[in-house]
Amino acid sequence: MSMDCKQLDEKLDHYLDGELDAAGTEAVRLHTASCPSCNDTITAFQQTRAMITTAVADLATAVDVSGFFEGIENKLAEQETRSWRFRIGGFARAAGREITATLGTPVRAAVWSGAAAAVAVALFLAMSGTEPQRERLAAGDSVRVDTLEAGRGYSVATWIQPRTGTRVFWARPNNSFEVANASHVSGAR
Amino acid sequence: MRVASYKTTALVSAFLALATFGWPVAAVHAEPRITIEIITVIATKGERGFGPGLASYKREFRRLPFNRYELVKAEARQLGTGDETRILLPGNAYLQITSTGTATDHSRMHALMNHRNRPVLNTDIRLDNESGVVFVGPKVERGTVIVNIRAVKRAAAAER
Repeated sequence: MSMDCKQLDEKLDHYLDGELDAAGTEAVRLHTASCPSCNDTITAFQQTRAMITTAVADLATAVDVSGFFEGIENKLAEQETRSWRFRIGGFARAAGREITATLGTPVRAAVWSGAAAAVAVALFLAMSGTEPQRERLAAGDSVRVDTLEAGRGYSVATWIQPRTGTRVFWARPNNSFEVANASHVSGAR
Repeated sequence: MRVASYKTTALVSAFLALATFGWPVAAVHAEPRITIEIITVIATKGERGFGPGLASYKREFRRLPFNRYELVKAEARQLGTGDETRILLPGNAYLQITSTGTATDHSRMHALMNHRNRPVLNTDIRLDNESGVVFVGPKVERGTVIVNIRAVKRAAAAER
C-alpha cells in the first residue's frame, strides 16, 4: 500500500499514537524512507513527545528570552511612532500660527491652515503605515513571549507545539516538573 | 463687524477641515478589538478520549501527556486595549487576561493565572490572529486544568 504526503498527514496522529494497523504502519515507514520532509516531521513530533514525558533531574532556571529583544524593539517602535505623531501635530499647529501671522487675513489663513492639516494627515497616515513593517512576524512564529514569571513555589515551562504552532505554558509546583528541554522559569519557594 | 465675519469664516473652515480630514482618520484608526475564544478543560490520565465539544481541539491537546480531556466550559470575549477579563477555573483558580494592545494582525496581552489567591504564572504575550496558547495547570481534585485561548478575529470598534 503506497501513501503520499497528504495521506500521511491525515494519519500522522494515529501513527504517533500507535493506533495504525500493521499495513498502515508499514505504509508510513515506506513513505518516510523516501520522503525526507515527512521523515523530519515525524522525528520532530517524536522529539516533542519525548520532551514532555522525560523527567528532568535538574530543574533549570533559564528564562525564555526569545521574545525579549523583539519586545524592546517593538516598544521603541511604538514610542518612535507616537513621537512622530506628536511632531506632526505640533508642525500643523505651528504652521497655522505662522501662516496667520504672515498672510494677515484670517480667511486666507484658514484656507492655508486646511492645506497644512491635509499635509499633516497625509504624513500621519504615511508614518502609521510603516508600523506594521517593523512588527511583521516570521512565518510560523505566531505567538511570542515578551516576559514570563513563575509564581512563588511554581515553575513554568513553555514550548511550541511543532504542528499547530500553539504555545504551551505549563505551571506546576517546584520540583515536580516532568518537562525536559523546554524553557523554564522557576519562582522562589 | 468685519472681524466677527472673519472669525465665523475661520470657524466654518476649521469645521470643514475637521469633517474632511479628521473623521476619516478617526475611522481608520478606530481602536481595534480582539475576539478571543476560551475553552476550559480538565485533563486526566484516565481512559483515552475527548469529551463532547472537543473534536476541533484534538490536535492542540494530543501532544500533551494526558489521556482524557473533558470540556468544562467554552466562551468568547471581546477585548480592546486595556480591557480585562477573568476566566474562573475549577479549584478556586482563575486566569486574568488584560489586553495591552491590538493591531490589524495581532494582539498583545498579559495573562495572570492565580490559584488559591497565589500567582502561578505571569506572562506578556503577543498573539497573531488565528493563533493560540494553552495554559496547563493548576492540578485540582478532578484533574489538571487546561485553558486554551485562541485569537479568532479582529473586530473594529464600530462593530461593538
